[in-house]
Amino acid sequence: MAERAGSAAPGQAAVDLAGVSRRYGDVDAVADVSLRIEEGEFFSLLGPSGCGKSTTLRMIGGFEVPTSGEIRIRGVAMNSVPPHRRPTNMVFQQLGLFPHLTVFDNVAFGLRLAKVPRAEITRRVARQLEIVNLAGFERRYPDQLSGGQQQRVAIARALTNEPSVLLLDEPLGALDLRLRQKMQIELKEIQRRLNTTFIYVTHDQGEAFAMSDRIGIMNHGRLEQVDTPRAIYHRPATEFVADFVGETNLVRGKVTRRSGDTMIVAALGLEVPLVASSVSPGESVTLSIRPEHVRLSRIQRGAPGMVTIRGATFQGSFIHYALETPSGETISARVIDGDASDNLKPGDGADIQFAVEQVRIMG
Amino acid sequence: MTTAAALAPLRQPRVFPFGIRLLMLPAAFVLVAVFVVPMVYFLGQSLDAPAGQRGLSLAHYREVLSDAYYWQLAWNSFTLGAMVTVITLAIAYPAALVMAEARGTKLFAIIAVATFSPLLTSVIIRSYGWLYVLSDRGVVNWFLVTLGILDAPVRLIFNWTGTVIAMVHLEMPFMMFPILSVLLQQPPVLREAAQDLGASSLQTWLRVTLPLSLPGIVAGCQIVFATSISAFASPTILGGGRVRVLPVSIYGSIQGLEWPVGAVQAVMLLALSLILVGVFTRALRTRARFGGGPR
Repeated sequence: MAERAGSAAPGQAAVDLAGVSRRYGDVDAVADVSLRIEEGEFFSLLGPSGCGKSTTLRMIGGFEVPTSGEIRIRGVAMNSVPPHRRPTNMVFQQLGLFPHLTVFDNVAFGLRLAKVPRAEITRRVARQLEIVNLAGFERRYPDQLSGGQQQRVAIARALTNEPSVLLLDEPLGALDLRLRQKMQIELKEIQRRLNTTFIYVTHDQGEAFAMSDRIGIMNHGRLEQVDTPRAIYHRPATEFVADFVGETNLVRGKVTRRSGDTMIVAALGLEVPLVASSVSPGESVTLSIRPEHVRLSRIQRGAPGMVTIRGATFQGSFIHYALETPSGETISARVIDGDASDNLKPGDGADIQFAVEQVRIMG
Repeated sequence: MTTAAALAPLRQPRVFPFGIRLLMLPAAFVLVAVFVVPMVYFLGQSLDAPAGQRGLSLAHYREVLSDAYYWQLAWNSFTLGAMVTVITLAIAYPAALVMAEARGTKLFAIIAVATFSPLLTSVIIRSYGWLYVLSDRGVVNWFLVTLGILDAPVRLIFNWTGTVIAMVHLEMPFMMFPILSVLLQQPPVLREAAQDLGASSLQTWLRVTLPLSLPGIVAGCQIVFATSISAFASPTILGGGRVRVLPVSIYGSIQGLEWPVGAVQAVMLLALSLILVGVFTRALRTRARFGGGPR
């Protein structure tokens, strides 16, 4: 495949998007996305449906053409290159296995087109099927395989061409939870072993977090934040990211005064002390408080607490509480089952504390 | 997979409750009353003993099958069926590709109406229409002569040319429909996957679209062949007596009150039809799969 895949030069991005947009009529499906994905990286595009993540992926694969901006793969401009001449391969959401071909012929499809010698085809297909754990299934047809097996054929088929970049468009969407988790581990393992750049599109943050080196969060066609899973979870850059990734309470407040290094923020009818240098008294702010960072302490029954329990849901390893704050707003708290505050009832009062070092101030 | 879902009901033998089977009764009744009974009666005539004798006999078969004239008729019927089938396929397949591509657009509707419109008029009217269009002073000849492509009008009617043209028009929807339906069933992702793996448009068509449209092509060919070898109106009106095919001859035999001779020819026609349908079905079942698998 020498004519398809360029070789990696040191310091060169595997994929480089520069101001890429895609318009349909007067709707921006993708708006001004700039992104650099490194060699050997497992990169996920995460966002709600319709956020432009699939369109972005399809532009990298050549199935959509950017309205403006430039896509480079290993430094080579790709905008006018059709899919069949790009050094990328795609695992499609609907898989797209050829129903009239056996597993072997599906996986060998790209190699035959590239006129690879027959002996080498047999060898490479066998190796690829071994990687995805499907040795012995060569003569089966796709409709004789389970969902998970079909999935792995699709991955093997996309990998036999040894693409510079493997594109995966929600490939696990159709599988049940258990199989999906198993495949996530396998995919990550395959990626690590082959050291190929993977670009993975999903709306499932658990999936993105489980596999990715870095994640790009998209919303309304725009890239909201690009960072490691940890950084995105703990330091969301925008309200959207804070809300979309994990669960959070977005709370409006106002900085009332400074006390040493600490800013006192009035929010929820409470005073929240926060260590922050980026804001000054008088400023309006939005706080992002994750439910697991809300601490409750029970008070004597009947005594008025800072908050009132409005709802309690048992969710296995933790209890989810809906709390009414003095301002009348409702926020969520999440308490580990076994905690002293795990059996509060609706109507009970409780005192509340925030793990202030975990509270984010969003501009 | 779509295919898995589509094939599953065929693989599992299903038991239909008696009540459901009862729903077949009206259809079964009509089939027996207006098809099986007359057919058996008519075919029975082919076994009638010659005049003046009693009982069953193969005399009429001997008479017809030993006469080269009737074999020529059968050959003519086969030739007509094959020509119409091949030409219809050659026109319908590309058009169906365009239609499948244009699904949901105005172009789709235009091609659909153009293709299926022959079904709206009677075959007789349509045949006379073609007679007019193709005649020496018809639109086609006028056009060719005016443009200087021809010096003098070419004979397009009362011969094979006119018959084939009219029949291709008539058969077009029967070829289009099965092909279009398999093309519309192909998920677009299959072609994208082929392109993604390095296939050009032509290679994608050869390796994916074409093999997956074979069932539609075979079904279309079977219908078109079977109906065109038994066509009567077009060969009669546009053939002007020069297109000697079995149905025209059967009609003649019956007009001449030679029912048994007509019945034997009908058996020949039926055999021709069954052989071709069988060959097509077999071709589909044992078709060479593209690729070839591990060796």
